[in-house]
Amino acid sequence: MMVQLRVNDALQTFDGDSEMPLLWYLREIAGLKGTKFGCGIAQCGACTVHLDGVATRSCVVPMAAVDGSDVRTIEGLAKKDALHPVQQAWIEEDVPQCGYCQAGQIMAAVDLLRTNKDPSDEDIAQAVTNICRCGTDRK
Amino acid sequence: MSLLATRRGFIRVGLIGGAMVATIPIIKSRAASTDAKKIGIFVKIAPDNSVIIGAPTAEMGQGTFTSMPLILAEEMDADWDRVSIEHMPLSLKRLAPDEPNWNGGTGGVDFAHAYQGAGGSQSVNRNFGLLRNAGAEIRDRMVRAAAARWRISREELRTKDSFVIGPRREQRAPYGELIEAAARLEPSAHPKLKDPSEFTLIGTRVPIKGSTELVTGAPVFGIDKEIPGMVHGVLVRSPYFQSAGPIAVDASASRQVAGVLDVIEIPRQWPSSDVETEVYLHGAVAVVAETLWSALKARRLLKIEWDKGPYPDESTSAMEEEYDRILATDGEGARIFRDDGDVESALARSDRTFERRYLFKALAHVCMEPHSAVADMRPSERLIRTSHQFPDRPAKVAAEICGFDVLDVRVENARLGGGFGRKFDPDYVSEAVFLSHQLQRPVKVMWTREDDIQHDAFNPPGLSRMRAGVDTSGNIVAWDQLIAGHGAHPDVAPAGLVKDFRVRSMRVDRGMWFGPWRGPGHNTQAFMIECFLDEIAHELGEDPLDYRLRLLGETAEMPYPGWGAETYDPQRNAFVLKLAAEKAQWDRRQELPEGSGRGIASFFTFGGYCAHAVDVTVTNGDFSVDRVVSAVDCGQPVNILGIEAQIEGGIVDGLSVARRQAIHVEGGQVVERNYDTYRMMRMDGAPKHIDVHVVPRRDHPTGTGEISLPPFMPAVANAIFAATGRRIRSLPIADQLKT
Repeated sequence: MMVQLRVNDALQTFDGDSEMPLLWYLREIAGLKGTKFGCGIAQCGACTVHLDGVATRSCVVPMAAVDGSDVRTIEGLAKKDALHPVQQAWIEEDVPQCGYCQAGQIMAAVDLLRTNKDPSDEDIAQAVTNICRCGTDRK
Repeated sequence: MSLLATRRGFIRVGLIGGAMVATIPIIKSRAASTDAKKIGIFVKIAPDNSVIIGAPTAEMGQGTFTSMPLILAEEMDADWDRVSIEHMPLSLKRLAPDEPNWNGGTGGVDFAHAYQGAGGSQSVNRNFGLLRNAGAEIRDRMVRAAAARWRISREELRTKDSFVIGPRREQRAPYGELIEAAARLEPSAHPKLKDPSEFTLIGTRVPIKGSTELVTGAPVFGIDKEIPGMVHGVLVRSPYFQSAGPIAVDASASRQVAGVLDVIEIPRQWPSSDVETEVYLHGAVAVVAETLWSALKARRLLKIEWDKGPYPDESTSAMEEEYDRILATDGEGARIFRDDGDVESALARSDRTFERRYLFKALAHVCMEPHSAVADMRPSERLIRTSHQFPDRPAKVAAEICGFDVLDVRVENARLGGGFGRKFDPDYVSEAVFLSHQLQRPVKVMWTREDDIQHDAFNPPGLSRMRAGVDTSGNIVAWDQLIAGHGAHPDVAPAGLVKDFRVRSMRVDRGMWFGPWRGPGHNTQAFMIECFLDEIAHELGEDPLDYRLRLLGETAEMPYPGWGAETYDPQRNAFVLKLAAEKAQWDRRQELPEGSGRGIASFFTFGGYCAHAVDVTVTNGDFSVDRVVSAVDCGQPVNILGIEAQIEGGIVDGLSVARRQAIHVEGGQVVERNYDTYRMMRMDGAPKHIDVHVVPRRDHPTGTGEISLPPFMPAVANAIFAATGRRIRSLPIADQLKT
């Protein structure tokens, strides 16, 4: 089947294997390496993107399910000249250690702030369930 | 490219493309080299006054891309905001047979200029002096160049933010304007190092370099790297320990998948006491395809009969039965790691003796970045792109498999998505090299999480029997540890503090692959020692803090034969304990509410001292960590922000391990497959408050990546005891509090 989708505002078409997870489309075909592979079973959240505006673990979403969808990845979060406020906050708080899980964490945090402008620590812990082995969780 | 000016002296300085480049060989090369590949740590000052500093060791979250250049920039008086970091390529050289190498021996192939391995908390420790001297040399040249230009004495000049500043208002020269003159000067005779009181970067709070790349998704990790024209390989490795590989393979369905190019059997190759090799190949079947997805899809369709290897029925319960047998025979035939005095006589003479056993399971590394390597082994290319803690190992693998001279192999080492000791091993690189060599085209090998957990170099499991004897005053006069399962790190306290002291161990080698894991040996040794001390203190009716301080006594600094340090100082150990206790209001712990408790522990790991005082609350068979107060002595602190991050990270990682993490073996195979069964703590389980106190010392700095986790796990167990009266003698804690 022919899949049409928007990735970071650009219209794309895909006529390959529609079983392929969105994650591999983004990394291997669209060349957007910022979205990370961590587990492949929607546990760790390293592959989190916004699918029609909602934080989604792209490793378990087949291409067949994204026809007509709008996908935003970490590469498409910043506006032309300005980082997204969450990216800016991440730098100011000096969050990353190894940095591998950070794109997924940021995408999850941006989605949380969309629906909850002033989340409590508990709200954050409930909504952002990504795994980080460096232990940067508390930032 | 041409190098001008002097090549004598400690560093080489020259002009390259209009910029001044200082290269800093640690070991002086016999011949000056102009090959960019062979340049060690370097500093490049451009005419626009920007500064690029080369970082020799890999960044994996431990912060060396910030801490190492920061040391150099400090002595240089460089404008830190205009310093950027470049990861140096691997640079090896062949030593003369009698020339000392980094492993403490002589000869062989070794790092050419700077130590480029990342592991054992050595990056800052080993390079501190070198980086300071190099920075001072550059600064000294700038001052001399400005003094000559303005015809004044260098004593009248000072430097700040990459400027030389003279007494008159117009006497302000950016380094970038002085580079031509500075590069032509003779080397400094004795470049003066700053007094630590003059530091403006070292010992302050400096955010990491490169965070913009990380928050915008730049392709900086090994798994992001490609080589044009590459194809993708994924492997099914034998699930059985030390399996020779496949016996029969039915790849007919796999070959039907669109894009599949080849299915290749790989026999096991592994170093052993009989076989000397740099190559680590698991017995496996590889699917090579045009795309990663095709390869992954085709891999699922393989039908393989495996050689089951020497341990087809291995299980965790059988291993633990063997540990029991070892202890039951009093470790008959165990290796003696340390034997001071006469421990059996001392135990017999003791007023009271104590004996406890501590058990722990194997642990996986689960670096967030699954292993990956891309190799192009065509003779014209000889290139590996990967993320590895010791990039010399991939080069040696390629040399051996392909018959290249190791010095001709190019290794471009990328950022690591965590290392924790796992990316010390070259198995994933061996696979990419093997396939590329066989197919004579670039091949990228990627592991899935299931591959990673099943084929990890695990932190070894084991059971320890601890025995101690005390005199009539409660002083420990005998200490005896017998470890069943794995080797020992016998030299940490109370080694050296107790005259009659013995550590023995008996390895149980039943096929599982073990390797370094954040704080090797120390991660579990701390649990056994610090929990046992806590138990003895309690049995004697003593305060656990006071009892530890009594053990440390007034003993002066002593030689330390273990890894990562020359000496161990009980008084520095006591200081971090006292500091953590004071900041945590240890003396007011009785005021904690019912169900809550405060525990303490400290440990000396690879030259650094760390103590934690931990508050927990136990409810409904589960526990939460309410607060952690940590005290750290890592010598001269280099970057306080980086140290805090490492200490907090070790706490969170340690809590994650202590709660749930365990690898089990059943039917000769690893049971856990992914994060659904190997359970990592998430944000909701993290400690609510962590306060880190860094001791402002001036001693030679030591690493902080591994010092926090070891004492944290016993501090938690001791806090749980304080809260409930229940002793935790087995890790993970899992559901122990439910019963």
